[in-house]
Amino acid sequence: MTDKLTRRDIGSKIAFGSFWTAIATASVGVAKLLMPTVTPEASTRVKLGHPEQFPAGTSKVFPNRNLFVFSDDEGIWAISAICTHLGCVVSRLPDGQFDCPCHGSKFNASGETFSGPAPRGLDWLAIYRAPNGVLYADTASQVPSGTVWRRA
Amino acid sequence: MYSALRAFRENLRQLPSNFWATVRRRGPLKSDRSRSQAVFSNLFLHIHSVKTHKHSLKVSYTMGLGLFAAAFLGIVTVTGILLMVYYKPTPDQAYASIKEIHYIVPTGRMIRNLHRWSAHGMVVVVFLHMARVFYTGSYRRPREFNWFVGILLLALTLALSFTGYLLPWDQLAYWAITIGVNIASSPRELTDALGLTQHFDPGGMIRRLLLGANSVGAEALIRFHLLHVMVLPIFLFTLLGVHFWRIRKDGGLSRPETPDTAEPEGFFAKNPDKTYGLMAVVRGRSEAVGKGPENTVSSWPTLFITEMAILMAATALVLALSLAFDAPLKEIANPAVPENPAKAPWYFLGLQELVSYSAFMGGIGIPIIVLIGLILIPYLDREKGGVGIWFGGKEGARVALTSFVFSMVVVIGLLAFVINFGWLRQWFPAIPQILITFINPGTVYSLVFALWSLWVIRRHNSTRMGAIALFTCFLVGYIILTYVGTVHRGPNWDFYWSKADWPTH
Repeated sequence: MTDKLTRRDIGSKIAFGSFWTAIATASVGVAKLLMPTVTPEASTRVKLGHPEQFPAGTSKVFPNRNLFVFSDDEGIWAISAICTHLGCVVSRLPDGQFDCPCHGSKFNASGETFSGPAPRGLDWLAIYRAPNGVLYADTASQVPSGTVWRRA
Repeated sequence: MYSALRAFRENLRQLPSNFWATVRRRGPLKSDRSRSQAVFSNLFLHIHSVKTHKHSLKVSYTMGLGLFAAAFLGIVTVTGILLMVYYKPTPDQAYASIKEIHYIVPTGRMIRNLHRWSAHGMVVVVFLHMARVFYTGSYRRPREFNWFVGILLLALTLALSFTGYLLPWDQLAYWAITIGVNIASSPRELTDALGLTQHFDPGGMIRRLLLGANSVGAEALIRFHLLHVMVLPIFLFTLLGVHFWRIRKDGGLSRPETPDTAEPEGFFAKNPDKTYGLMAVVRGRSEAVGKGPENTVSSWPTLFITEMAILMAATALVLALSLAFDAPLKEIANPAVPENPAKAPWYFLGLQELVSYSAFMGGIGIPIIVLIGLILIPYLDREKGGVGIWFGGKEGARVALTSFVFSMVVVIGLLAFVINFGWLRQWFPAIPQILITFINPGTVYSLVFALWSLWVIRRHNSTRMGAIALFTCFLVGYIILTYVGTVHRGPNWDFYWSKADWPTH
């Protein structure tokens, strides 16, 4: 048997090739529609307040934004309350430890996991100061654990 | 003399019977021929064979499980369409519209209860149906592909139940779906550990695809609603058509090669004392050559009576359940306060138990291994014989029993150990995350079951026995984990002997 490629073979290869190319292109178009580029969600910026509202050694909860804010002499930091395991909201015990109600992950006071299935510690969130002096946290922007917004 | 007026009057008088005759296009059901015609000249019946083998009608063989699944599917479809009349898939209105259905809409509560109970019923009988098909060896040649279609139908059934879970938009729904979607996006656990997430993030893609956003909200509700009422049902009904079609094309339901109801009595004369003339020579290699007719009965009415009885039994069962137990509806969804415990539907609680050790392996890795394993069974066990017999005979029944005992001991033993002494992170706090991710109790189970099955293959020198061992082990694992997740897990996923021991804040 010879492997000679006839003109007819080439024609049919082109025909089939263009058919599958068309199918593939259409599928890409369909898939792109399903992937939103803009998500219709509330702003991830959370208004915390003036630095004076966070005296050293205090903590504050922002329950509707799933956020804890802590402060000491050095500065202020924010820890997300969303468990890194499967997205439940952790609660803070009086001794400073965080517990997840869903699958029992436990985190210490600085958010490091020490028990349970959570793959990493709680997220620390970026804090920045707007020109009018008010502090904001951004729940979409994570910073390395231990990053503190320093008081001037 | 012909009077057109009289003929007209006569036609008018016979209108009902003539109309009915044009609908049926067959004579009275007095012969096998007309009974056959009743089936294959009817669009709605012609998916049936005109003749049904007596073995296929044995209750002890099929237990009607496939038909029960179809009956429950019929009930969820009808009640689902009725619920759609009032249900509004937006976060503002979803919860209120379910309340409206429950408290105001006439028969609304009953319809919703029926929808819920028949959905649960469908999940149960689909699992049982799979077990029946497996243990009677019915996945074997030529039915390998239909087994595969059946596994897809099982996955679709579970997907339909899961997508329906979000729609009431109550606390249960919101947190179960939050957890479920996070499980689906847990490949990120893996890419994080490998440092790949920034370049390649399949977990995040699945998440955005399912939710249309970063958290469960309006977009997610629309998507789940669309999947639940349109996309998944289209796939389910299409595949169900293939499933039924293949039953016919694969030669009807599986049955033993020599079923105990093989040949009708007296078809072949015993000790014939006559000689017979040759009437015709039958050509070809048709299986029927030289054999008597199979022991079949007309599908009409025997099979249809069975089907109607099963539909009635299924309906009666869910009606009783719906009268006794209302479908639950908790407080409206609150993204700030999780349910404690936040539990998925019961058939996923075995997975949730595994997920509580590591999300990726428990929620994605092991289910995929199990699904692939199920699909491959007919291609890895290609032995012949024993089809249509429970466990393929005594040896298989013994293997199933020993595997049952073995897996009971393994599953309960390891689970009791883990509940009492904790798992890796409690012993080695500095352990790398990648080990936590992969070394899940479920991984241990899977390995032990696989080794056990290999040992059974060697010992019995039979791949069929290995398949029975493996399937039994995983079935037992699934049932026990589901039971523990449902009954014994309380707040913070802690172990409690009974719900009465749960702490009261």
